[in-house]
Amino acid sequence: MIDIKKIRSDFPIFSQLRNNNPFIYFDNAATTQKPKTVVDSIYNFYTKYNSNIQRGLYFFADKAGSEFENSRKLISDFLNASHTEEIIFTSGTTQSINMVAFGYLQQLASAGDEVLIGEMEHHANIVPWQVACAKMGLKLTIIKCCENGKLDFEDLKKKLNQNVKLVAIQHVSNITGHKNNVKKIGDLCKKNNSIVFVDGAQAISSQITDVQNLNCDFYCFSGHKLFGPNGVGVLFGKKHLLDIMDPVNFGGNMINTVSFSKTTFGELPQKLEAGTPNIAGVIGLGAAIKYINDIGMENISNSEKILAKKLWNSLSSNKHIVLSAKDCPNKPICSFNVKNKHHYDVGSILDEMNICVRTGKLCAQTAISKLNVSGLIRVSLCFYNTEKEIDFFIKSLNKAIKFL
Amino acid sequence: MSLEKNISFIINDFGFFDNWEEKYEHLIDLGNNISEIDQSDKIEKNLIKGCQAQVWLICKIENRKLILQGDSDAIITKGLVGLLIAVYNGVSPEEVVNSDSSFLEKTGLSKHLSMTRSNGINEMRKKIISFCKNYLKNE
Repeated sequence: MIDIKKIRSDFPIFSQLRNNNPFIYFDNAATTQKPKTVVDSIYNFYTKYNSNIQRGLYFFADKAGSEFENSRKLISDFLNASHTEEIIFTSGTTQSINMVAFGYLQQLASAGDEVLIGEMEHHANIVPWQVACAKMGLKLTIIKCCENGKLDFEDLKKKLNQNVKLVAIQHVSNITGHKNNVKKIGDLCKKNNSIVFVDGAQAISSQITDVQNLNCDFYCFSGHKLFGPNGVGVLFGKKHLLDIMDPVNFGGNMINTVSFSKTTFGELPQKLEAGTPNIAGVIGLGAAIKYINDIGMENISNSEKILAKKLWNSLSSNKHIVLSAKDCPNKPICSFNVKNKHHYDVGSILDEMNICVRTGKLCAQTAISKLNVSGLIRVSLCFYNTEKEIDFFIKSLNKAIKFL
Repeated sequence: MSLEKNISFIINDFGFFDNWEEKYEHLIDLGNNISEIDQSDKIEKNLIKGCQAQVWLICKIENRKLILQGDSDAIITKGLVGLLIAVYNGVSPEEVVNSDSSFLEKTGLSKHLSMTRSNGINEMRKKIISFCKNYLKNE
């Protein structure tokens, strides 16, 4: 059990009012709020030991360097990676996917080979593969999704063949909150000798992630969806794959020796982290992991399951609502439309009622087309949200429907 | 009809309303009162980019006055179309080109328009102004 009062007080943003009223933040799938410890860690870096890492011999640089590497260790343990150097710092999920699409895919596939992706992925897990495939003459094949936005396992089975070199899927849908069985999918792909890439952006903040148990080759996420700062993220890759992966960025930090005739690259993880990294961001992400560890991921997960059930029950029993999923999600994300009302109008009125939700195509136009809607209203909760907030939201939603 | 007069009517009307509910109701009414456009005009060429809802806007000049028509699939955006029609309809292209968006502030609506919504209304204004600029250039 978590102490919700204490948790709420950990997040400075919740202490403010909007138009003299508290606000409800239900857009956690877009980004999560930051606990004070994360903000403090960034403040401390800039005010107490700001310096570049892996270069200076002085004590500031030493402190910055060890905090930076400490974050890598924390994340490595958080994901249960086998080696710390399997954790590569990136600017976020998008960059992580691009690094594999443009740094690794050519090692693996040649013209005529295939890449499989899901039908309802986020744009970040579609466009890099699409562009990389077009450049390399590879075929991009789409795996169908079933009712809850989950991958259709039978369709995947049908589409796997010896030309399929990589399968890229999301762990949890940003539309429906439903979770793919990555382990089962991974095991099937492994039998086919296909590399498995998992976009963990929506899963990472809600459940224990064990990359060894999932048996995926690559896993990635963004720090800002895990209570950490913007502009930092992680690419996990199995060491033997990262070893042969080409960098997509070249320059300082990633080299071993440089001369005009030849440059040799450094070891992992530096080889894939060219230039001065987002040091404050990485330290902030480390603080976020510590915060989660202190609460316990299992406690977070359990609280979110209760919220998911309550949210689902409240929305699915409302006769005005058409939900995009058929069943209660694993994570408290529900997207829906109100009958005969435009999602834009509903979102605008909810905003006037101090309720933050997302509306529109949710960075997933292919999913929106599949659902045959022009857009959706998405509410996405997190462990710091409360059942009381759900009640207030439903009341406000009914008022908004009446108003419109 | 002068732009200044149009704007003062609108500001005056919005001045009657104290809370967001009334302001929105009035905005939605503005949308409900605009004349419908033909289904055949709801085409890509007339669509405004940058809006979450679909917005169509048709600009014409008759007797050197701007004639605006529009529609949207969302009622609040349709209200914004109605607001722009009330501001710019019957105004000379010179006046349109020289206008700014301060009327939004004065109606009290701007604080209710979040970034995405104000982007939408800015895109509509851009289309209207560039249409008038082109007209003056080719006149």
